Amino acid sequence: MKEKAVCVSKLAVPWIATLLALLLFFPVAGSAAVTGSVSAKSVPAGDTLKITGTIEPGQDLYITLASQRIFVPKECVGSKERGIFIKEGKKRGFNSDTKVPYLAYIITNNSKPLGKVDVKRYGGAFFFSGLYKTKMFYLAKWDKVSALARKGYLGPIDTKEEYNLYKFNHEKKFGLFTVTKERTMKGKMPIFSRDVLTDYSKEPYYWNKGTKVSLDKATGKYEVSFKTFRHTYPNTPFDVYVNGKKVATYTVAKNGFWLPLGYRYLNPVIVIIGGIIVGWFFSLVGLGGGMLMAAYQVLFLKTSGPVGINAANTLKPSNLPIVFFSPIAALRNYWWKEKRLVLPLALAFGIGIFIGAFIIGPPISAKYLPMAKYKAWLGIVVLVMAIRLTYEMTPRGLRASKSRREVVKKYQEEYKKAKAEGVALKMSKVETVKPGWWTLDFKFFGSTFRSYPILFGLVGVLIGIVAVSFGIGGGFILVPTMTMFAGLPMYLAVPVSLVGTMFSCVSGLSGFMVRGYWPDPWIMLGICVGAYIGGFLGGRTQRFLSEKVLKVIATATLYFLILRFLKIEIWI
Amino acid sequence: MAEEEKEKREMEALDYGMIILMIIGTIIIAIGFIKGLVWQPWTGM
Repeated sequence: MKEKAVCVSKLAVPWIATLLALLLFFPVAGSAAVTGSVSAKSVPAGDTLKITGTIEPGQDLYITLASQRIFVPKECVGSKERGIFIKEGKKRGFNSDTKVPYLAYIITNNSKPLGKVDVKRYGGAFFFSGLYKTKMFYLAKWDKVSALARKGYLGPIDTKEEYNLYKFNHEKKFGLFTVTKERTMKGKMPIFSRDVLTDYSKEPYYWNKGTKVSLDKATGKYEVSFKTFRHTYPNTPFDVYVNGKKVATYTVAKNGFWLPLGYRYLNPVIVIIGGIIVGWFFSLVGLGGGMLMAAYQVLFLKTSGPVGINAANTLKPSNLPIVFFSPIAALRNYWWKEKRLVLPLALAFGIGIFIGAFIIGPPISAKYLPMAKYKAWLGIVVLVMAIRLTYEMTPRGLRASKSRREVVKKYQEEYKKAKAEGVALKMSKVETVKPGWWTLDFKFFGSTFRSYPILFGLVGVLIGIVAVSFGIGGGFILVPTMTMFAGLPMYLAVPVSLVGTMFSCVSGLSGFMVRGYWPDPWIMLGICVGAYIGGFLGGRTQRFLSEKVLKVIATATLYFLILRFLKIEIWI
Repeated sequence: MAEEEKEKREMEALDYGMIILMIIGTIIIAIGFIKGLVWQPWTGM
């Protein structure tokens, strides 16, 4: 019996040895065929990287470039964003401690196993959403890619939770604005973030631009070119995985002036130029400053915000100083020199705005978030105002307000007189006739106007709520309110509106800062400088424009804003 | 005369109110600028 046992164990030894050898040898043999090297250890952001090597003949190529910098939802800096990630995670199948590379790309010669190209609709308000269409790459569900992922073909993304979070960060607007910060855009609308890339000459979709993939299936030799993201976080190391094997690392190096919270490479002079244009325009008509500066940021600056903070929560606080510094410069003229600021009215609006933005606004927006969903309704409110302003410009509308008609007439007479004498026009002063908080009477160019400070203060509360939610000043409500309900001419409505928006800035900005959302210092400084220069120019040029011209510009801006609110206009 | 004096004083008070607003606003913007410069919220490493 003992002899038999010895005999069996003697026979088993070579078998076990052979099995062990096979187990050890085969995986090594499989991955030994996979090689890869990168063209440079350090690539400036935005430059092209080349990867060359070999894989097993006959196989498809899957190269994953994954940043070593990672994102974890529970470490999200923004408290609001953290909450959204936890909520979305339950719905989409990832956890608060799921880790994903903040940027990761899969380059392949065969994208079919990873997903499909399909139509993406975008633009339009809630009642006609999906006004425009384009194409994007939709990642497949986990069940379809799990076999590839488990073999390590997607690099560090090898569990269901990681894949779901990766998909969320690339395909959902909230994810790409909070984490990847890399978005393909159509106008100002984000479509998705680059994920699966193939050869541009074979599949000429916009996201494949800059990607070349050549694979010789017979020999397994491959050569890949990939354009790195121009705004990759400075000095981010990346791992290169080829068909599941980590073959190299490279670093995307700093390339230009990095905005510390804007998360972009940008020359701050571009910000100043925008500030001057918008500041000048805003100080002329008293509305549209915040909205146009925000549009400039979205389109030209593409303010992205730190990873873990939604782009809007950096863009808005950085944006607000436009409605503070442009008025300061313009008011030098409107208030001190020409004395045409109806200060009690401005302060009534201001106090209302402060109450709205600081006391009533935050709990309302916390309860009925996100306010952005109400943008379309705001568009409808602006539409009503624009129609009313258009009516005011017609001869019939002008006849309705005697005092305004008189001001326009008097202004034109004075303007002609000044021109004939070759001197600059001297603006009339605002003189208080009957002070009061319920009704306030004052004279301007010989006409008496009546306004209602307390009533305007209540409108200010509404403006405050809107201002803090959208990061704007609210001039687009202020100006029409004054011209419509008090029949004020633009020469008086604009300075009051400018003071009102200054209150919006102070309350809105401090509200953001208290909640932990800080502005990008350089964008903000650029806007402050530009806005001051622009406001200074506006303050000096307004009196050369007639009431009618100012109103036409203001009304045209309102119509433009309507198209913007309803997401019909998406390019400017 | 007293009425005029009172009105003048009220206007002056409003003027000061505006100047205070400007100072507060500038301080808030300056705080935002400094914090924005030194704050490094994410490195991901």
